[in-house]
Parts: sequence; structure tokens; C-alpha cells
Amino acid sequence: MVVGTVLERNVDSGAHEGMAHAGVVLRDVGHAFGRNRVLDGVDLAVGAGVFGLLGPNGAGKTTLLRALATVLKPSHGSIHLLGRDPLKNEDLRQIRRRLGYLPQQFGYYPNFTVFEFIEYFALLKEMPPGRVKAAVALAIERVGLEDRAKSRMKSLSGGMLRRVGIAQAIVNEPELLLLDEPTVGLDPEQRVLFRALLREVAGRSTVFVSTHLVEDVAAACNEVTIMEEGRIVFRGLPVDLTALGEGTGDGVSGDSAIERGYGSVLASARKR
Amino acid sequence: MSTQDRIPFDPDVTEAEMHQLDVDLNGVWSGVIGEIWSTSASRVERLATSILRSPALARALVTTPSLILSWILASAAVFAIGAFVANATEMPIVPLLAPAVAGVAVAFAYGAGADPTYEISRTMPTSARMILLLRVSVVFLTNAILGITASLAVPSLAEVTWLWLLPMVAISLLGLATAVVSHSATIGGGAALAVWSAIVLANEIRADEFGRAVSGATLELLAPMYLLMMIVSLCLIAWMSGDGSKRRELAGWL
Repeated sequence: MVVGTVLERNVDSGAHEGMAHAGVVLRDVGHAFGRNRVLDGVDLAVGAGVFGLLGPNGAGKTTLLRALATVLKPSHGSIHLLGRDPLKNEDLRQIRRRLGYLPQQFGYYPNFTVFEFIEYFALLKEMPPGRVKAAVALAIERVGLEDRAKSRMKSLSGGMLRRVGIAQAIVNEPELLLLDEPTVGLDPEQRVLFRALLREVAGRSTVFVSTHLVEDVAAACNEVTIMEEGRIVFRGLPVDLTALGEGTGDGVSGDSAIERGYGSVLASARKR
Repeated sequence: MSTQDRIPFDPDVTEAEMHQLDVDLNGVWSGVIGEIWSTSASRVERLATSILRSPALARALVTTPSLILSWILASAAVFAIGAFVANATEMPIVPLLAPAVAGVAVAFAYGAGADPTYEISRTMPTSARMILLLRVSVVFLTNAILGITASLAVPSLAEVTWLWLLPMVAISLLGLATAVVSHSATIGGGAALAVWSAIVLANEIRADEFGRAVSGATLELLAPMYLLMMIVSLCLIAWMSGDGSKRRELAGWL
């Protein structure tokens, strides 16, 4: 089967490349909420670059990101982040100093200004106090919110709030950046700017982006991972996913080849 | 400065030559902009920073859900009304209220369900346990001061001014432990209210006397129970609140 061949080749080559500069190494990671198994034997090894996470609702993308963000301790398996073990207290602290995370549900303090809000997390990330203000200003500029830096958070639109969320995630120049649905509420122009920001960050960091927007993955990601029912069912390049979608029949939905490729991977995974 | 004193700008300086300068101009610019955009910390935050010697902890303290101004004003109002009623009726309203108010406030010092940035805060290197300890201490102290102030305003109840501090500590720790275990400030606050209400009602039924739960004799009788409550709660909090603890995520079961 074409899908199976693509899966096998890309998982092997991706894992080999990932181990050389492993920012993130997961071995047989699993997690359950009660009887609901949300992660099921996830193996992954990646280095620097942008890695897109795709999958239907309930596939385990958010749970995986929460595990990588050290919010959640998996039921079994091992995780190593930036060469360290998050189960050790001192390693955990070092990882978190180099981590940036934007959760799917982004909460904020309504009466904080944009600057104050990002500054708060810069302080909690234990950045040197003398560097905080400059770093916050740079983060605000990078997400294009210079004219709203002194605005109260409650006065911002949904897209602006999302950009503030991205800014707090990148303020400490993280080596591991985890973004869960970062483009929700962003207009097309802002999404283009966001992809440029990702490419800029990817040179020196490991970036995971969970999204439902396949075109974001195609435009900005070095690799694509598709999850279904807690397992990785595809890992490869966006062009490989596009190739799977070209020439597919009427049975697979999608307006573009990459969307059809995504659909065919899921369809194949569900048949097993 | 006069026109002659100004350093003339050389329009022929190229960008490459600018890059060769031994100065990170972008960094300098960001620093300047950062100073312009930043706002002065409040007096409370500045005081906290000087005491704690940590701007991060100070900011974490002023963002405690149960330390925001509206919460403190509401607690003060409850105690004020209690003192007014106590003066009018000579019933021990303030000692009865204090453990409940403090229990709920302390439970809400724990972020889950109350702090909108709780999810992000859990990924921070600044110790979650340290932040929790700081928040709980200040919340409890704030409520203790409010309670003692209200008690002192009721001369007839001077003898019980200090007695209710023991159940107040126990109920507060119980509320916090429940919040930490259940991962929900609301459940913790509810547990504190429920347990204290049960203690008050049980003693009223037993002795057929309003406010019996905060009488000297009852507090002496219940002191071992309160101490046990405090020890168990502290153990649970210590075990479940650490970053490296072995606790499992319970949120999916609730």
C-alpha cells in the first residue's frame, strides 16, 4: 500500500535525523484519563525545526503538547526534553527556563496591559531582570502589537489575544516552543506573519504546532505528524502528504491535494 | 543644544558599516521601547518585591485570585456585617464566619479553576509550591487580620478573639488540600464550607446553643480533631503540589 510505504520510509528517516540533535525524545509514551486512552505508545525523536501536529478532535494532540510542556505526566513511557529528564527537579527547572507554551485555552488577566502580562511570564521564566523589559518589547514587536503594548488585555480582540499568547511563549527565546492552535482568530495577513515568525524561530529551536489548518502546516512546517486515537499514523514531509493526496478518488474529501492526503492517511489508519 | 553643537548625521553610512559597530543597536532600541511601554508597579507589588526580593513572586502574589481588591472588600464587608450583628445580638457571628471565609479564600489561592493563567503558570520554572505557600500565607494572614479586627469591634466577645484561629487554620488547610487533590479551587472552597457548616450545626444540635462550636469548651474538645485535620492536610498538600511529585492528573475523572 502506498500509504504504508510512505509511513515506513518517513518514520525511519525522521527518527534517525531526530536522534542526532534530539530536542525531544519520546519512547512509548501513553496516557489515559480513567478508561479513555488518549496517548497510546507514542515514539518520537526530533531536533530543531517546525513540526506540525495534525489530527481530528480527540486524537491526542493537546495531550501530547501538555506532556511536552511538563503540565502533565504521562501514565507510562519516557520523555526527554532538551537532553534532560523532566522527572528530576533540577532538570525540570532547566527545561522550563527554555520552554515556551501556548495552550489551546489561553487565559489572561483582563486588567493587565499587554506589556505587563508578557512581563509577568518573563519574570516567572526566571529571565535575568535586567533583560526582561527589552525581551518583552521585542516579543511584542515580533507579533505586531506595538501599537497595543499599553492597552488593557480586556480591550483586545480574539486574534490580538492569541498574538499576546504567542508573545509570552517566545519572550524567553525558547529552545522548545509548543503552540496549540496558535492561529485561531488570526486573519490571513497575520497568519502569513506568524509563519514567517515560525521559520525565524525554527533555526535554533524545536517547535511543535498543533493545528486544524492543513495549509498552515504546508506553509510553515518542516515535518508533519498526524495523530489518530492517541497514536502517530503518519510522519513525514508536507510534500509527502501532498503526494498522497494527488490522484485520490472521490472517496476522499478535501479541496487541496494536501487535505486529500490528510484524509487518505486517516482513512487508512481507521481501516486497521 | 544649538544647531552647531549637534553631531551631524552622515547619510552615506551604509547598513553594512552599521552592522560592524560594536553595539547591538536593536537590543538598545528594544530596551528603550521596553522602558517606555512598561508601567510602574503598584505600591503593594513594590513592597512585596522588596520583602521577597523577587519580582516574579511579587507579581504572582498580586495576581492571587483571592487577593484581588474586590475579594478583599467582600471579605471585609462580611466581617463588618458580622460584627454589626454580633454587637446587636451578642451572638458570636464573627468567630463563626471566620473559618468559612478564610477556608474559601485559601482554597482559591490555589489556581486551578480560579486563576485564568493556571495552565501556562504550571510550565514556569518558578516553583509552584513556593508560589502556593506565599499566596496561602498572605491570604490567611489577610483574613486573620480582618477577623481579629472585627472581633475587637465586638467588646462582648473579647474572650473568644483568639479561640477561633485554630479552626480557621484547620478549615483553611482542609480547603486547600481538597483544592490541590481535586485540582479545583471551587471544590476546595466548597469542602471548607461544608465541613465547617457540619461542625457548627453538629455542635448546635448537641448543645442546643447558637455558636457552641466556638466556645472555649468545645474548642478544647475538638482541638485533637483540628490538629489531625491540619497534619493530614499538610501531608496531602506537600505530596500533591510539588512539580516532581508522582501524582496523576485527576482532571479527566472529574
